[in-house]
Amino acid sequence: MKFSINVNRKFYTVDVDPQKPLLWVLREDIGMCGTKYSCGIGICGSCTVFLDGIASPSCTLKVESVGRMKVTTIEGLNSKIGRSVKEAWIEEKVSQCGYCQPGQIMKATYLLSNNSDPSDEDIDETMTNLCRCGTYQRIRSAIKKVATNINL
Amino acid sequence: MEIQLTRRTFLKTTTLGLTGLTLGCSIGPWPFDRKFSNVTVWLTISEDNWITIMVPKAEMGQGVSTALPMIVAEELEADWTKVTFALRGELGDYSISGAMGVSGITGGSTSISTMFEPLREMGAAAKEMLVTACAQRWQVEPESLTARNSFITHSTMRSITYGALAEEANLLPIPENPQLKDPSAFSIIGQPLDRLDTPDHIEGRSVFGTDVKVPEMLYAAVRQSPVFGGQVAHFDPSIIEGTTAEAILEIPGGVAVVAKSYWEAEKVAQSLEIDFHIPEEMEALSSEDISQQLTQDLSTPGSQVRLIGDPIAAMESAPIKVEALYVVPFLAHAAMEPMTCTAKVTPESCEVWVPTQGARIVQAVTRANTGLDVSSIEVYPTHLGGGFGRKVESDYVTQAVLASKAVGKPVKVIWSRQEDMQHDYYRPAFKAELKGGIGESTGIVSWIGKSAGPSLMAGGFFDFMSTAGFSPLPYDVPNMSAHYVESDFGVPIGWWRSIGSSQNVFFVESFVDELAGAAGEDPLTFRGEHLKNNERRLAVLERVAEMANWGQPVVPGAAQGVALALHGASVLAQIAEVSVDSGGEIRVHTVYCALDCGGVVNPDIVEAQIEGAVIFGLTAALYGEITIENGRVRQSNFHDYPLITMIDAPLVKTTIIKSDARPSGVGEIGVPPIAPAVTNAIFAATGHRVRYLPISLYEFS
Repeated sequence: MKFSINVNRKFYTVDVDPQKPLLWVLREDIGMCGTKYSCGIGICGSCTVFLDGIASPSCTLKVESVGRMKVTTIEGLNSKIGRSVKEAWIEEKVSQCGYCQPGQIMKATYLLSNNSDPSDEDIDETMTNLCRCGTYQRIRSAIKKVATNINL
Repeated sequence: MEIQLTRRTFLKTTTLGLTGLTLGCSIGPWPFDRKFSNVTVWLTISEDNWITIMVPKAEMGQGVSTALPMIVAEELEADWTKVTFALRGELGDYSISGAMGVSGITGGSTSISTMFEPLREMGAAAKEMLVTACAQRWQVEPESLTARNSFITHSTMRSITYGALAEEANLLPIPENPQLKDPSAFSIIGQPLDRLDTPDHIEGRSVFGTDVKVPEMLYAAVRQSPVFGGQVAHFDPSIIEGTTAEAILEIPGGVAVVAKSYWEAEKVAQSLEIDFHIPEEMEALSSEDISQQLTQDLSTPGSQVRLIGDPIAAMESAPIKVEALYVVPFLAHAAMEPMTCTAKVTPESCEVWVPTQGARIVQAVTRANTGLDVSSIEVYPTHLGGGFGRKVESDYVTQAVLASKAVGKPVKVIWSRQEDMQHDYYRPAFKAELKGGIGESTGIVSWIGKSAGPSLMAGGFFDFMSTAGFSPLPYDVPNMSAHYVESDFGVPIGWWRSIGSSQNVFFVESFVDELAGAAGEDPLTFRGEHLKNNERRLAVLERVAEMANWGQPVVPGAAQGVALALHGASVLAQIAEVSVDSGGEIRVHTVYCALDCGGVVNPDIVEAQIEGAVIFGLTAALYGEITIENGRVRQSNFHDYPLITMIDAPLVKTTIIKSDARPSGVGEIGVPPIAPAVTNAIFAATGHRVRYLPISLYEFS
């Protein structure tokens, strides 16, 4: 079945099973591999994208449910806050293996877009994405760095 | 581990399609695959003055794709802002013998320690060739030239880029004894430089194994026997009729379903009913049986690993005697990227794109499954979405190669998280029995240890991997013995970040704490008293005590626990500050780490490794447990094999002790001490001694 979905401000028409999760449509049919597969049940956060600006797992969302929602992936994350988050990721030297980092960056951008001065508790509550390399304290520092810059 | 450099020969190569200097060299002799690559390009310098340095190790987050190029760039006097890297895998001459006598894998925290000197020489040789080329072009003395920031400058201030000289330099003989810099002049080595791979990671551009794209590629999902050792019994290929699958084939211990999309392949694989021949004894196996067997094994003599003095006699006469039994479970690696491999097999050749810690193993497995000569097999290593020892194995490579061979097209195999969790090579379950005798104001007079668990080196070898951290002890003990009993349950076991030390340091450091308690001494002072003959270990212990302000936790009501670990020549001490609230909730606030790992290439990457290792080890200590029921792994995903998240992640503070010694490893040493540091703190806080892991088995209310 054909679907036209808006990814990173561009429309893509894909001919796929309506049940196919957005994650695999992005990776296989559109060819954007920055969004990662890890748990497949929507708990690890590696597949985080924005749906109309809201951070959501893409591994459990059927393509037929995407409808007219605007999808943003790591490749298209170029908002002012998104860029600041990416820069802070470099400055705080967050990344190790890098596999979960696109999802972490999406989630952090979502947090900062809605809360320009998150407390430690806010960070704990929102940043539930898993990282097996254990980069958590640097993710926290990077988020705080962006918050400081936003609020200057 | 010393690198054998005496027979090293540098060889020159020009590679078609490349311009500029391509420094090739052969480091040998190595036992096999000589034909595949006796001339290996180690770095290229292009005309636009960019330098590409080959990374002959797996990049799995530990930072070799930055740290190894830093070593070359230092001696080459390269402009670091114009240095990039290419992953090459441990193939042919890129395969440098590592620790543990194993050649050609990325593991054992050995990348820097084995490659430090060879890569320095590589960089120095290339610099010397560029200087010589410049001297010849300008008709000046080489001594009048200075190489710096990828430029060569004459005493008259005339200057030229490396790139402009590269082709001429490439024609020169490679110097045999290039002059190395004095370490006091290092400007790249020792600096906390940004990682070269981060810019691609944060844009989603890095190519991991799951991201490989090959024209006409199909995808495969696998279903392996739910019970260890099971084989496919009945197999009717027509079962995929009416589905979107294009092919189904038998693979060792299971089937692979091939489709145009991974999701389609996985959906079909999930719906298949496959009959497996299950070995009866495995069908009956449970964690309870394993526990009983380990207890029984502990009652047998086992093999002696070490004997110092007369521990039995010393124990008999000791006024204070202590005994304890410790237990640890199987653990999964659970890398965020599940097992994946892409293969393209044709009758003449095979290409494999794979996140692997052992490209040479991939090559050997591909050869075995295709019958092709290694000269027709290309292995392209990708970034690894975590490795932790799991990606040394090659089961997933075999599957991709067999699937591609069967369908005649490139195939990418991806495991579901459930397959990954249930078909791992697990950190083995172990039990250990420790007995200690303490004298009147003489400290430990006798130590008698015995451990039982599956062996990582079955086959009659002395299993130094399974006993690492159990013996020798880091402490001075006059009478000591250690025995090891090999158990076997048919559960696949493998290398899990820090290997034997992952359980043994928990046993040893918990028991040292128990002995300190029995002696009525402070755990840190007690340790120090048994390190009087080892200045480095004592210095590390004293430093961590200063960092943590030992005995005075920052958080009201919290308690501290200490533990020490060794890995190769590296020494690490940790102090964990832990609270146990009235409801029994455990909170690890801060973990202080003092590390002596010799010289350091990139201190920030070293700190990151320690931070990450603490989280990895703490995840295991708090929750990590793979349990077996009817020969099957019960856990299937992160809901029942949880990982630490942000909310439970402690702050890790690391101090690296300055050292002039050569670099030793740091990738694993942070894992072993965290479990005992935390359980020792829990004892200090509550009086409850944790002897079984994970800690979640206990209630502290």
